[in-house]
Amino acid sequence: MGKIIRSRIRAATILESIVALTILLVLFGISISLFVQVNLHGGSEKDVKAEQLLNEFSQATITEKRYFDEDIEKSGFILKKLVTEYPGKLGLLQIHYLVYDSNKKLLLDWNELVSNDNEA
Amino acid sequence: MGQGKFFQKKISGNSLIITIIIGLVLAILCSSLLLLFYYNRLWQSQVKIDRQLERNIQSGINLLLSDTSTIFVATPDTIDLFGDAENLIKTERERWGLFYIGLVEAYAANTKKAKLFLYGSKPEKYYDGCIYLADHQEALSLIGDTRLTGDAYLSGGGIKPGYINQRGYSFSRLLAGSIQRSKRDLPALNENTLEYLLALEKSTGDTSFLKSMDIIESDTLERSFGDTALTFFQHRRIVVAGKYLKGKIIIKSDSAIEVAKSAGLENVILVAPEIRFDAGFSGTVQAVATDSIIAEAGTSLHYPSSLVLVNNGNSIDGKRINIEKDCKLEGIILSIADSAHKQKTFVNIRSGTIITGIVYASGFLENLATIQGTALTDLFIYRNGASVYVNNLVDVEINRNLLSKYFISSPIFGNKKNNILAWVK
Repeated sequence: MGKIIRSRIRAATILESIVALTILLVLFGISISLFVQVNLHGGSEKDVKAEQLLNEFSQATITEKRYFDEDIEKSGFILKKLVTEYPGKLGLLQIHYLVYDSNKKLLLDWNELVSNDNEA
Repeated sequence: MGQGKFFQKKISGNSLIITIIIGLVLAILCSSLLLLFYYNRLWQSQVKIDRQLERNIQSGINLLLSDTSTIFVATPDTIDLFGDAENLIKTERERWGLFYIGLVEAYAANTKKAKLFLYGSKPEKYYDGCIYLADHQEALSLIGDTRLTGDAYLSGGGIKPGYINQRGYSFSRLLAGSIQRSKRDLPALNENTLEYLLALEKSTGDTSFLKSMDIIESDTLERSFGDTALTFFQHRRIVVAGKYLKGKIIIKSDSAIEVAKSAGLENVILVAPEIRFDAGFSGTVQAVATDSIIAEAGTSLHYPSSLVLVNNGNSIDGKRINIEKDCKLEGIILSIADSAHKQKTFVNIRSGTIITGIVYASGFLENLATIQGTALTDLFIYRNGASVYVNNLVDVEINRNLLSKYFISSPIFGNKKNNILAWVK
């Protein structure tokens, strides 16, 4: 037992140590680049904020019955709404919501159908 | 020292161990980060799909509710909402008594979300008043503490204070609302719904699905509105007692149905010539009868309930809906009679009862109750001993303003705008 504790393993060369550290560095680099990619393409803070603003915009449209085309700027985003009659259904409106960032890049868009209570 | 020598120089042996340990720690950190990113991304995409499905379901519901055509076609429909093949929904509707069942399913990325609901509609303008008395050239007389609040559709005879047993009208104002002229007949009912009610009464549907009530062994039976209706039918009197039945269930008898106080019914349909609710029963029921419906004292029927007396052509005397004392009904009371049967059809509502909704009585309506809503009838009657007074209202309150503006009734009264009554499973 005492022999095992006292026995020494062969020392590594600097080359071996550098190779090991390089591999670790590469792995770390890959994971950081993935992190950046995830942040850019899915669920960045910007996208979350954009979705939140579009949700508020959509809610306000329904509660205040603002069924007309509208563009508003809020917190550095441009929110857009396009209202058209839904084909073949009287009193039903299709609303296309879009949100752009300050560079006019489209971040998010969706469609909704709402009933036009004013016509009922 | 040459380069070759530098790399061959040995450093302390434990440096590799330290490197490996640091490496392991970093590897664990890196893999944890990768896993975190992966799950975060998965969660975000699921949330995104979920929100898209929610939006599409709401759009589908609006699409389904926008159909106010009087002819009802119950076909499932798969729709590409915005023509981009990314927003697919399936809508389905079906009659359920006086109301409709709506089903909307939305699909995206192998995920499905569905919502089931009962829906009805806002009725035509005639139901916005407190009274609609068909024009038989009889004036409406008010006696005692009668209070009418809301617009009234009255016959050419108008409205006046009356006297019964030397008792006059207690107030100076006859009506808190405007008077409009009624027509000779009550507002027409939707023919399509009438046909459905008659079919419900006559047919037993696909007999292979019919079951006897005796097969229900457990105390509770629940049937999803997404399934086909579970129909119990018996050629004898059915007594529903000590069971809790909920959902898409029809109980049908060719004789009579009695619902005991111990029974629990939720959104169930009862069909029989005679239907009786025992004193103290409480539930949400649609009862469709051809001869009589009796709600004993203290019965409580919650929204959306309905009591419907259909006219199947049987010419029996005394077709009636009797609602005894101290009952509560939220929904619709409807007696249907053609001109040949109007003189034999009665709706009797006793004092202490509160009706919240619509009372539509083809024939006679004897009302001693409070109606928070609308009463429509050919003739009001009031009995005092052996005497029967026509178009006299004695000590009753009919107040249209006490009915919520969000009250949704049945498309049988016309289909101005559909709306959801209740979410179901």
